Amino acid sequence: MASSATLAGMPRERRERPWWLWLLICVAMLLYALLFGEMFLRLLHPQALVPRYVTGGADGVRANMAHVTFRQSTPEVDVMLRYNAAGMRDDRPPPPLAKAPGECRVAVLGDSFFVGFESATADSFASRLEAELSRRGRPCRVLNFAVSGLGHAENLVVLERRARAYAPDLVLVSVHATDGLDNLRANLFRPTPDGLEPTGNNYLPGIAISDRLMRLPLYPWVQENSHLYSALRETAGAVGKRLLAMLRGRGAAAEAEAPAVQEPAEEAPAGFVGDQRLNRAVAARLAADAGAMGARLMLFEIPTSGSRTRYVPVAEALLGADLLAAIPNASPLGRFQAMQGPDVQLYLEKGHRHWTALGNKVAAEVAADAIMKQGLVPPPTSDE
Amino acid sequence: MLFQTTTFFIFFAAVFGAYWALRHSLAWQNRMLLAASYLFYAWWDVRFLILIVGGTAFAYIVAPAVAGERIERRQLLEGLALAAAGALVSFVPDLANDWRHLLLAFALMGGTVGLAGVLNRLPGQRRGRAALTAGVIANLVLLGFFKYFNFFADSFAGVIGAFGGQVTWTTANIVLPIGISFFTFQKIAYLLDVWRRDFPPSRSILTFASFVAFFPQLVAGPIERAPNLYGQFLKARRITMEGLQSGALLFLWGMYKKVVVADNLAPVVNDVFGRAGTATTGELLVGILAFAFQIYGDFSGYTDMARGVARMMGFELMLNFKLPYFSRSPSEFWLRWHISLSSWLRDYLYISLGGNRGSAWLTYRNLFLTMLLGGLWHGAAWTFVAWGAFHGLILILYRLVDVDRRVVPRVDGWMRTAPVLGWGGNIALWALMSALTLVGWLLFRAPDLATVGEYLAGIAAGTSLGSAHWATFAMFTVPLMLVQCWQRWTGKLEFLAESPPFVRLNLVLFLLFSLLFLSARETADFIYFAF
Repeated sequence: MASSATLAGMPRERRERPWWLWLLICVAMLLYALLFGEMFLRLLHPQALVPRYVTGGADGVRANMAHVTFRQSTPEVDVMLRYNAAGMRDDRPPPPLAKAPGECRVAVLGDSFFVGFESATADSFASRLEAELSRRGRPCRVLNFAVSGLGHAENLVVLERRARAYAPDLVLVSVHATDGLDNLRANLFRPTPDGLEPTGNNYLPGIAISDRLMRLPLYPWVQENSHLYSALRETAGAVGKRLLAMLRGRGAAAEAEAPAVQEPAEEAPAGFVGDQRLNRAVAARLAADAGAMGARLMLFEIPTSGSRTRYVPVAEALLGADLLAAIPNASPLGRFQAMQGPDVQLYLEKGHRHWTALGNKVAAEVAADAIMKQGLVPPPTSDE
Repeated sequence: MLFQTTTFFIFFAAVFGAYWALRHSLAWQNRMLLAASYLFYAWWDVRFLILIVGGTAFAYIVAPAVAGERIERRQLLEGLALAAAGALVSFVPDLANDWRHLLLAFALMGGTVGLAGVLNRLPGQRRGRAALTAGVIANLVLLGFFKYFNFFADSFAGVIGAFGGQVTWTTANIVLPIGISFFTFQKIAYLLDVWRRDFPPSRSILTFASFVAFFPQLVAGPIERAPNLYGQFLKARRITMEGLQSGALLFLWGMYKKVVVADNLAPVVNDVFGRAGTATTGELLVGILAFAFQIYGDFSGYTDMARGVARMMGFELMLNFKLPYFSRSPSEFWLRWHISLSSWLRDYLYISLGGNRGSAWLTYRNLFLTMLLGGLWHGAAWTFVAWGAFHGLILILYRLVDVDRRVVPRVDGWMRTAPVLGWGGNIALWALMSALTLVGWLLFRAPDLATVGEYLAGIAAGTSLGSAHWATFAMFTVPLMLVQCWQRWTGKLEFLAESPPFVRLNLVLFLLFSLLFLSARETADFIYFAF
């Protein structure tokens, strides 16, 4: 018991607050701070609410959760996304594994750009591509295996363990500025003089935490509605990714002597190429694996956008011109540059900067043109 | 090592831990602070450590002579030992390239020994004058070489060229050592205080070196005076909860002003000044207004962080800003803006020139020269000279029309005094002074005088007042303006520490969330690091 003097000079006993009261005060303060933060962000700095609904796949890399429908809202868009039973972004159920005679299937592998984040399903790249192919007289079912955050190394696992079963005729893989560092972070493969060897690792960053959180009844609501949660998650994710790339990058740099590469000077993050030898080995394996399953592979570049009048290529820096010459590929860069102007918005600007509906449409047109021109899907049979 | 970076937080956590652990030994606490201060400075460029260490040693050695006393052997040896240690730390890591610098440093030490011998042979009064002259000139030569050599060399070549002559030389690639203007002025002030018998010469190299190099204020002020700071190294300092809390709150507010306000306004300013010739009137207006808040947020933010860090360790640094944008006259502005520099210029330059002790014309000359040199202190560029001259002229003009006498005496009692000229008169004076301040900032920020002309012509053209930058400007300045109005109204500069607990909680949350989510993507160096 502490004592203090009153004004009259008489000692008076002061009761110490019990521990539970302190705890209560701390909890109340924490809740108030969270509430304050939520209001602060809503009023002054609204966040993009872009939940991902990603879990760990049995194959050791991330996968979309099956049978979920959720909302993404930003100051620019408000859209619903639905993952079907196979975790593909599609309003339709997944097709049977066995292909009907003459049926054409295109497997799309990539990250959130190909999932169609911040786009309505009908405006997403995969849906647009299916429509464009159909418009060009070659209807194909586009199977969207893209998962937010996946790089080429993880997509190699997706191709072997998930897409192969559907016997695609064409495998379309995105080439995005994040792929180089994602390959490093994933640490699933290491380049060898003969190609590529698996490290035997899994790569499921933060999945245990997010799976545990998903069991909480309020969590889905929080991630679709809380600006504070979204901001904290993005900040923590960005810091974690930077640290992981730094740690794994240092190891990779020590192991391999990556050839000097010319990185685009602007917009793409410094050092985004990561380990080019690893990038090239993974891309070559993607092509080989697609070939082994009787499919063709096409790489499709996602240019980096600095502004409405500036689009920057990334594929050559990531993979090298010689490899790109050897693997069918396409890029909407030329079309984007031809269209550029202050009134033409191809990328969203206030959220996570994915393609707008127009950006998806143009990219899908370019992809469909390239597929048709290079004959990457079999021609329709006479009874189709 | 910028205050707002993780590196500094780690550094300060380590320093504070050691400081706390050594709380029972003042001498060891001071030694640790000195080592930390030198580490803090060497973080930028270890080679320049010799400048601060050598300058400290020199001032320490000559100070007794400035007071008319003999330089004792002990004092000479202590100074030389410090300088030698500084030279070795600065140059040994790169001895292959820097051996000539090391040689020069030891030659200068030899010169100092010779100077001490000469000074000791002079009679008291002459010794003091000679020592003061040597001390001040040595500091000014150092400052002049690093800060102004290229400027004057290029300007001289330009003048010769204008008369058809040609001077061909290659100016050295001289890097400006960070904070040199601040610690040089601090040492000169110390020598002048000793000369004026306002402060006795230091007898402890450790205390003196700690005073000169105290890391919170080392690189961008406040330019401390020995009578305020030196004594704080001599007595045990108490770390109290009140000090920790108010220091942390001051630091938080300073960091907000720097990282959220100044750094978010920087892109607006850079954009507008980068295309002053083609920007609309609205863009030019928002550009100069944004710069006024950028430089205030940047510099006063630094000062608050410095004062906050010092206070957490039990030190009290001088106030450097008193809501300068509420000023109604140039004199009032200089009593509120960068107070440690303006009072330095007043005490050591203006008064040394004669102050207002002569005729009116001599007073005007002294005012003008003081402001001109004050402008040049900020940097080696004609825009700074023009800025100083502009402030000198408006000071004279206000004195001529006798406005200052009615406004300035009210400043010291400040804020709560009734308006002297009535509300209308005060507001009119405030508006006029604000406009003049903006013209001054235009001279200060513009890359050259031609841009100033373009800028003013663009504003006078009266094209569209619209600009996409207004929203950014409003977002980052309105909270600052509201707080400043509150400070002005209540007279509480440290509004955070003095608010009721619930208000304080909300303000702290606002600042923390602003720092977390509204901080500029690119954090910039402090503007005054370049001065």
